[in-house]
Amino acid sequence: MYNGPSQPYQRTYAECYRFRGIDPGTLSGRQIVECRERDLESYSKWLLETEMFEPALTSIRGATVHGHSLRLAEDGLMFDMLQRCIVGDEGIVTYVKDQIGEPPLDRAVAVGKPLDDAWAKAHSTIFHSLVGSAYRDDEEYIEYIVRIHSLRTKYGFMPVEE
Amino acid sequence: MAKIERSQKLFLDALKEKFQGQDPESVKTTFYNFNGVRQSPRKREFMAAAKGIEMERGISMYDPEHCHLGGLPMGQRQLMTYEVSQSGVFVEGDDLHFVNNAAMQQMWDDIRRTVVVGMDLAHATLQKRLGKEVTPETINEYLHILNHAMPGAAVVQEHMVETHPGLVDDCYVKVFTGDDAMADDIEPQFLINIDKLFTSEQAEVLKEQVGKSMYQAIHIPTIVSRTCDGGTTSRWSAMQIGMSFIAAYRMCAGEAAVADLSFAAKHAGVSQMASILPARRARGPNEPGGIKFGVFSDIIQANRKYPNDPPARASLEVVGAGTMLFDQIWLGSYMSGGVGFTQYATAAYTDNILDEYTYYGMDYLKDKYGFDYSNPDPPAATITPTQDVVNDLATEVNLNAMEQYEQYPTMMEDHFGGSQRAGVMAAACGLTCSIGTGNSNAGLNGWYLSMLMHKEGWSRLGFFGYDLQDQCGSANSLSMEPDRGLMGELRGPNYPNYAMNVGHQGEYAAIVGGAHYGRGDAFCFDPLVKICFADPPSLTFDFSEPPRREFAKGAIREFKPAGERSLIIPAR
Repeated sequence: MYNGPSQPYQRTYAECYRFRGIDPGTLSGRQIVECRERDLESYSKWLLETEMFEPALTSIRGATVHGHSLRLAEDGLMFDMLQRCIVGDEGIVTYVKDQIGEPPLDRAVAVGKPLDDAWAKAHSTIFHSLVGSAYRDDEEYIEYIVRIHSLRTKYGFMPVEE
Repeated sequence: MAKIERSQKLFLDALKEKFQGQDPESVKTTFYNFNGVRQSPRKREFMAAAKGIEMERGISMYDPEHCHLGGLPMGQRQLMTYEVSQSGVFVEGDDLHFVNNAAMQQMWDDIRRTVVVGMDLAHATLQKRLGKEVTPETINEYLHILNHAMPGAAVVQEHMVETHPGLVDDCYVKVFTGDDAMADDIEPQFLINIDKLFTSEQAEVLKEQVGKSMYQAIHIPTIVSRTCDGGTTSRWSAMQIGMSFIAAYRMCAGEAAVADLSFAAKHAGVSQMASILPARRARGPNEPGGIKFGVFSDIIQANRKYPNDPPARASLEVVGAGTMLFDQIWLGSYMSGGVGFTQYATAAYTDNILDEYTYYGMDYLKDKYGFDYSNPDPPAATITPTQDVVNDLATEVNLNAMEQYEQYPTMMEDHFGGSQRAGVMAAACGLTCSIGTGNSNAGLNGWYLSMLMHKEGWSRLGFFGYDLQDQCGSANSLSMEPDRGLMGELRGPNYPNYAMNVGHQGEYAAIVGGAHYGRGDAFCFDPLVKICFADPPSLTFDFSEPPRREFAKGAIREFKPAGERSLIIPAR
């Protein structure tokens, strides 16, 4: 949650707009995508190569995905019980186990260096009053959410302006 | 909205104890060096116990270092202890699973084994149909017989088997009435004395509600309802009531008039603690899914026992009791199975986190609206539940809660699941709205604004299920027009949309209760239930003490439950 570039619902929104035949599921830490097998590689490539991915603050995991809420490890990586990736030579994050933590991969996969704090803060899609932008300061955003809530309360899901 | 300052954070002590030697505001820490599962004394105890069991039975058992994730045991991060909120007691998480906690089991046992049965119809039938005289003396004699029979003793037939009193010593029947003269004539051992148990204002209201009627508060043996189910309670009670009437009033068996009495005495005046559920849920009455939130808030007695405590305290006790029953036992075991649900539920009643958020809401109510939560009487002091008020209260309380999680990363680590945070933040918002306005639906509406704000602020919410009820709840709460739904008091765990999501139902119950505690009401929904559970020390689980304290007693293994079987099994 520490200024990861793309948080779960943002990923879902983006994927729904950009991809065909995709079924994203959104949870609090992980965001799961189901799609046609023939599309999987291209969609994954896109997710990894764009600014939606950050090597230390986002992660590719299958089993035991627990970690998004925890403090960061000393090397800046998000906690991963299975330690599927490590910070290797020259500070490059490298995957050494597969998604269910079984080592070794036939070859380690380098995904790049963690980006600096300033970049993460500037590009993050999460509010965070300690390490990023405070939610409270964005009054227009809050006002809009409250408006949606009020309209739904009064009119259900076909709101009519008063 | 306008942020206010609270100088004392209630959760800080817990964080310092849990994360010893660490700065609660630190952003980084170390992992993978805690000695895995062996860092926890309780897990070590489990491993040692399992070794002995394996030797004895010859079948393998608890083996976390082999079986967990193919040989990678949990404990790569710190396995935290938990403070049961406002109890000062720190426990291992395992101690809060209901299997490991006798107090939790007994709380549910005591609800499931209870029915309230009216006596008026039986007395009218006795007098008008059977020509019997009903007097205080005959009622006392009947109650004497009933307290013999209800635990499982015979009163009419020759050569009957009976139950050992030592196994069913938790079973008893008392009566209550709003008629002072009649109450004076009932033997004290059989009477729930409303005047003694409630404040004078509450007692006056309750007695007016009960009127001159008389009701029996019946608690069948724990061991019976455990062996059978909640539907058994009214049947067991009915059989013993029928036989006791026959014995007390010297009636013939088999005549038509006795059949009339049977229906009148045994079935016509029964109040279950929970409604029967639809066939697809396959549960009878007196099972958790059928408990209305209004009824549950009446079962928990913190507002009665501590009328001078803020209504937030009483509401938080309902949260603790409700999440334990509805999340851990109902959804977590009846409906699902496994052990995961405990982790969701305990977030709402440990480490004083929800308490801190809720008291922030109380301070905000006082600061901005002049609502004195420490003295919620007279009821006129509550705030009119408009949409603007709900929006303001929920927005501020939710923003504060999110900021606390952000400012104290150790607290975020404590509530490491989104569902935990979502439930806790929304509960604080809902409680603030319901306590401040005295309106349960305003509270529910505050809950749903919290959910939308949470989702859009952090771009995440709870587990997948939150995609349903929490993103459509605005439309079925403060205004009932869109779906022609129910007021909160009449909703329950099986209400549409509420039926499948952990981390909600206990909090909803508390939001309903909070509306009434905020107004200083004597009861929330059912005065009979309120009086029935106001009965210390006869009930095994003391609903008068804060339930969270009882759970803490269970966690440190000091709670004495009913349902003992040592009388009939070999000594260990």
